[in-house]
Amino acid sequence: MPDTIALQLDNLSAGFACRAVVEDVSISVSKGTVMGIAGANGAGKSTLLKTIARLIPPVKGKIFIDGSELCTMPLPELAQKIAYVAQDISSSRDLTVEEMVALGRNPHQKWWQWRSEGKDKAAIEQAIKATELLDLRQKAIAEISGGERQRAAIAMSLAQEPAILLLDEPTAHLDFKHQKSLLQLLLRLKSEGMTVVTCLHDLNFIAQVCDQVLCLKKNSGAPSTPLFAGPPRDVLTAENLQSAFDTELKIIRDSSDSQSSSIYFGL
Amino acid sequence: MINTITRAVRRDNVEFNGVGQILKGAMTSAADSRTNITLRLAILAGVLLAGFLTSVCIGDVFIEPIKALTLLTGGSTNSATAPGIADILTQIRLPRTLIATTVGAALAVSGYILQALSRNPLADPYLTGVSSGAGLAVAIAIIIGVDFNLMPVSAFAGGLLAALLVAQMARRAGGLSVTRLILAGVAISAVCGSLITLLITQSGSASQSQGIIFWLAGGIAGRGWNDLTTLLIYTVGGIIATLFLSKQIRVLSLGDETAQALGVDVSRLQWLLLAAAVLMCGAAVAASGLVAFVGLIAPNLARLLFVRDERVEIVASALIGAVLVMLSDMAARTLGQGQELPLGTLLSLAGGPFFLYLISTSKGQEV
Repeated sequence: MPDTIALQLDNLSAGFACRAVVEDVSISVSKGTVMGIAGANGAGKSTLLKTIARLIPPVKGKIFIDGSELCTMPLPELAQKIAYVAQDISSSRDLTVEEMVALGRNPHQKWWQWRSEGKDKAAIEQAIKATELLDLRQKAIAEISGGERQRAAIAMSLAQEPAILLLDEPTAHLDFKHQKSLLQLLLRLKSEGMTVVTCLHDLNFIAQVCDQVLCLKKNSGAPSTPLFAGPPRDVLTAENLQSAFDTELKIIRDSSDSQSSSIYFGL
Repeated sequence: MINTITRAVRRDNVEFNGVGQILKGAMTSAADSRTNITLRLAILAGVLLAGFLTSVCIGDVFIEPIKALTLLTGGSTNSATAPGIADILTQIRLPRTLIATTVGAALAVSGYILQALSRNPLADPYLTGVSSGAGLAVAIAIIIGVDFNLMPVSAFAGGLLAALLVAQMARRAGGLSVTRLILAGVAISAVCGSLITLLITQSGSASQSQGIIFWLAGGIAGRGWNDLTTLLIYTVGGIIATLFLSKQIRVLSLGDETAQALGVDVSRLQWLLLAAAVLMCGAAVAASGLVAFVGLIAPNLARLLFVRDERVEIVASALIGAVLVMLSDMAARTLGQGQELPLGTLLSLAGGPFFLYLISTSKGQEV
């Protein structure tokens, strides 16, 4: 498969009201790969992700999707290409899971259109199935657990049928089983050609599902900057991580499988 | 008051659902099934029609319903008094009842929009400053002796001016700050309210002060077909626009960021909704003075009875608001001994306890 660039960040600075939180980010993400964004609290992972989703305008630099500039794209067209899932999602309405997932079709529909057509229904159905929400589809989202709501939010973004999926801490509210099935879902989406960019705190998850990791380093009194980027196997070294998180940690290789390793912070 | 403001400023969805839960608990049996929505809408429309007919029939002169219907449908009656009665019916009661109905619908949908926009069930169309601006404009107009026929125009202009000021305060990069909208609305209302009080106490003329006070209490006495036309244009336009935007209102309920990620131009949507709310409320205030409460209670009742579908809720809000104001106006002009009761005051007087009743019957419900 030729290596096509799905997403390219060109000398990007992200932040609020002209004040950069992260700067000098230049990286490209190939189609059908997963990029993880790592870094300490407050390093600007979410800010960077929101800028890629065009929820906040970039302070400097450019973002390209499939070669075209993100900032000039009409919003509905953008939302057909990029889906963004926030850390926590709720509605002031009494929506059911299915009704919320159906809103993912919004960028594909006319702005006044309520009725789901055949294509919409198929996408909604598939999204609900992929996130294992079949039993919960008629439940009100206010009544389900945080983890279930997070899955519903991911289902909504899948119903968008985007080329690029942006996830902000998708495992945050999930129990062990659903963390695993989410990571499996990411791998499956990747194999189907989806490009995923996700902030993840858990370095072990990054090591297992990401093709490349971008680590942001928090600088005192100055915007964060990229510390390292590359395949997890190469860049997740004890030295790099100690520098990124400013704390001692250990990396333990799995003796039965030379590819996999686990990262611990020994107390 | 402070409490109300603090609660209104809170934007968390928990509270929004909380009040919904209270109301739902109060009328669980009515709200549970979603199957008979059409029936409920039909009942509501039936109540509106029946109330409408009653309203045009009763008053100082009673007109028999059959006769009224015949006259309204263009037929003629044989009675000798028919010409006088026909005038009362078509020149006084009909326009007045239509104005009451339209004012109710306009305020209710305006309230619905504001509540959706702020994600807060306590929001009310007057939060936009429309009422206070209109009140101040009318007070000034009365003091400087503007012709009475120009009162609605002054009210509309004053209301829009205040709303623009509030909107300007609420503007921020990428749209509207709802918290600032509410805070600015409260602040500007307070300033205008004080100015009105100053004008009332310092005017030096009892008739002027009384004129202002009476206008502030709300009422539709003396309004005719001319007032109705303008009001109807804004209201019908506003309701149709809101219905078209209803899907986007639902997307917006997920929060500004998620809505934008779903392709919604949040800033443009907020401005459109605010404009619709302000124009409808402004037109209503111009026609009827300050009719409080209906903008708050009608959307809450509609959400309670017609959960989950914004389009139905909007239509139901309009119908409920129309019924409330029409019935209050009927009471305002028939219950008073010789003098009309103030419509807005009457509505709050009857609506307030009803709202409290709904809340109190759901004690023990999870809030």
